[in-house]
Amino acid sequence: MNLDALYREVIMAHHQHPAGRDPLPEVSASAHGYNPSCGDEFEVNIHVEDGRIAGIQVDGHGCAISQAAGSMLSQVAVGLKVELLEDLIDAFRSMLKTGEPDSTLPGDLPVLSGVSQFPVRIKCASLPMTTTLEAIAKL
Amino acid sequence: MTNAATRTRLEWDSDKIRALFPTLQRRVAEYPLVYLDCAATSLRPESVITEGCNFCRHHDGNPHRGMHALSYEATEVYKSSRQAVADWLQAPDSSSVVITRNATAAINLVAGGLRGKLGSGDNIVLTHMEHHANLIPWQQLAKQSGAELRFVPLTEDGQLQTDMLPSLVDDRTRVVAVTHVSNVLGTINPIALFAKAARRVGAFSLVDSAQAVGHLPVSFAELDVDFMVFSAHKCYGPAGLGFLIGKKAALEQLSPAEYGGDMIEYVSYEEATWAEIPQRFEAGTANSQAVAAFPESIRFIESLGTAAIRAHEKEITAYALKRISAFEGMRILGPEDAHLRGGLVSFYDPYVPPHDMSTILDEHGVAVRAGHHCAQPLHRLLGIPASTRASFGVYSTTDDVDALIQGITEARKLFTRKY
Repeated sequence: MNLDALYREVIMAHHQHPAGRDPLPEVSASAHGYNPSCGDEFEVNIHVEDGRIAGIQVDGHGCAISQAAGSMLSQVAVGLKVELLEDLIDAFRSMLKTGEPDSTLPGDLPVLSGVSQFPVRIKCASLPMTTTLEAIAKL
Repeated sequence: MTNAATRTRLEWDSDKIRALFPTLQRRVAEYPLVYLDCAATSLRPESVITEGCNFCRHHDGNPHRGMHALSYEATEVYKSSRQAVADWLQAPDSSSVVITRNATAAINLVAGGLRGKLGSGDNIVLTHMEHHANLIPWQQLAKQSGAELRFVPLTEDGQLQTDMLPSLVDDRTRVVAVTHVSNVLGTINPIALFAKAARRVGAFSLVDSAQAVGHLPVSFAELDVDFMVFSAHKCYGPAGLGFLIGKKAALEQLSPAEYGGDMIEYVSYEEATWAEIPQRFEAGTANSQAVAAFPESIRFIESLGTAAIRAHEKEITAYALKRISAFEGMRILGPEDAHLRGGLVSFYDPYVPPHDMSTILDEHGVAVRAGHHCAQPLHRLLGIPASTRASFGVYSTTDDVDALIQGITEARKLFTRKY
């Protein structure tokens, strides 16, 4: 069943134990993301030092897919150059369109390729990413 | 017309009724479709689809304009559709029936028509359970005029605190607008009480009957409101069509909110005068095939009878309330008693987020609505980000509810496992 592709164990684990929730000691930029059709909501704070992500907090509530995507992102962002994080988010969003797992994506992110089979859920997986891009745009 | 209202429940033949809806023949995710999203839009019987197509095939003219046969026929179609709505809902006459795009457009027409007629110190009384459609047009009118918005609060079980009406409605109240049946809580509201409170102070009363018309007996005359709105697509009719029914004296006090063709009488380059009511409020061409098809929706509803439909939906709702509330920790929104509610049940599952619930149900062929159902402030008031809603119609059965319960059980299994 398609549901197995969507609700993979690793996704459910992120949903139940999300990473990246702790407040940052220093914040360079913040953004708020909201999906008005379902109520998913994110607050993303980033701390940037020397052009690299020194810290990220992805806090929010909503469906398992959006929460897992935010959690996965928080695990891979720290240490990346800001431009690289932007490229990574672009690649992630392409993967959601094609449905091909992108093995060049770090961490657990390739697991979310199954979301492509559920077009109405692509927005869920994208929300923490687009919110992060909004925060970057404010730097 | 047969005396459908007195028919007994024994005559309710679900199989026969379901066979009239072509969409119910399809499958979703390899399962037969279980359609529990009637409050968003109801499915349409074959006869309504055919009637819309017949207009396009045989008439297809633009009403009120041409002198040729097709335009004349289209004009007659509009006339008879208006008359059918007036007769059905006991409106004063066909000129009190305004054709709109949907219920939302109808409320905007009233709120927009009152622009410039309210001022600072005036107030508009709404309730905490309104759909965005019966909130935002009034917010905008209040902003534009400096009027105050007041809200009738909810009781613990999701009814309106009508005992607050005397203190909220005063001699500066200009509008009292309330939903007939809440699209989230299901609550059926005592509309006549609101109309009476408005009348006492000379305010306009408006009822949003989008979730009531076609689901329970509705009479404009009995409710004695100034304005009533509803959408055709929520009562087995086509999308892109709604109605505003108004008392003549109330409609006359509205300025047109949209301008252009068909709503005018005499036009110069500098000035224009308005057509008579109701055309004054009908700028541009409406969705003619929908207008043509809607009397067939009324015929379909009346072939069953609104009292019998209400009894059927109440029975399904009571069964759904019992089954859904049996899940541990499940929160039902709105009154617990099916007598107090229309044909819908919204619920909040502490284990399964609504969006995930909807996806999992969809994979079992069960269509429900997940989200805030165009009522963000209400969800915030209830302290939840969103909810899942199952809503029922003439074709709903207890088997449909069983399929829903099976889907919720599967979703719970997936979400309560430890990962």
